[in-house]
Amino acid sequence: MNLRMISTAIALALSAMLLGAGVYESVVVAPNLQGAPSSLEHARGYYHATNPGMFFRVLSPGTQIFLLLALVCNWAPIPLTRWRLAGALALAILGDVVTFKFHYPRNTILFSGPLTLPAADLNRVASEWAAGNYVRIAVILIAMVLVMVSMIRIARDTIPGEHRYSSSSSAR
Amino acid sequence: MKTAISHSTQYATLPDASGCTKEYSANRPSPDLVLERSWRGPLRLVSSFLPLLLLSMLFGASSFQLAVDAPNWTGVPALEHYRAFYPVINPGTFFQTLLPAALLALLAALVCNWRPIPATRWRLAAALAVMILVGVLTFTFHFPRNKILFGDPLTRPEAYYHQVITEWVAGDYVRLAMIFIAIALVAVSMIRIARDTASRELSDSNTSGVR
Repeated sequence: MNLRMISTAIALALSAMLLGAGVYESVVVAPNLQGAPSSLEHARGYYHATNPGMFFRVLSPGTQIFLLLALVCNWAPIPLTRWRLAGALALAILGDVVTFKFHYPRNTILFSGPLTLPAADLNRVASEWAAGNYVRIAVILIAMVLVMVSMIRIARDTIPGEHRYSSSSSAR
Repeated sequence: MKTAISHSTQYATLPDASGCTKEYSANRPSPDLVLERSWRGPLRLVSSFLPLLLLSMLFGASSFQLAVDAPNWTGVPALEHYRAFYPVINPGTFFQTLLPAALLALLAALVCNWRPIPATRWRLAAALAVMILVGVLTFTFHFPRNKILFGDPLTRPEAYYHQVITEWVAGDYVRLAMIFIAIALVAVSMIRIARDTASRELSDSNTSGVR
């Protein structure tokens, strides 16, 4: 185990956690947002101490930091791995852009603004939120696959002993 | 000894062309074997990656529950809101699908990697055993408490529910730790399999190079 492997493994675990929490939200939380305004009143009453945003605001930057660290640690040895990790980092950032641009305005309507809109409009916003979450999940899944492929490549590149998949110098 | 004989026949300068052909054919892997090797490596890798993905997702969703859901169970009114908020699908639906899927994926990984590396076999078997324990813990410890918190009428004193929630959270930390151990075991196995399949590909390509 070395820093190249450990940083990538942590980035992989964090991006998979992000994926798991995202899928959990899509499967468990999103269907229950339908049936506004009573469903939203219950959601507001329930999420009074902590809310999902608090979780993702820690996990998402954490994932990006470890992806950046993995990118730095694996910058030189294998160009393909460098670009895969850079792609994963770009996708993780894209996931946050989707969150800020698409989900935050809808979060305000669903979870903090006055529930004065017609029920049909609130349900439509909840449906849009769920559809946006599928996009976010797809983005994270692609990022995760890129990190996973990178990890396999790094594992092969750092084989201890004489049998290396390819030496770092020859892969340049 | 076998290896030494094999190498000597591969690299030996043979007396005549017909003899060369004969020896060459004897050492060349059969097409079936090459084909088998070509799919076995990726299958072993994919079979180890799938449980890693599912277990990490399980870990992420469990962390979400522990960080987001549990702190909101502050009393009877909060539990009433919780029950009212999950009329369609509840977290149990999600975990009752994901946990068996992870167990099946682990079993498949164990089957696909049973023979090549004994250490990997036992790591995957240990991960499977740990995840079965997670299931046992869920059924014996969490399910009765879930019933009290989310199913039965909320007629007991507030302190009683507080106690049940504290126990539920403590049990969930144990469950998270167990999933984490399983993830670590599968991750180490995947690295080992990636290296092993690389070595085999390398040795195969070396073999083809001397053909």
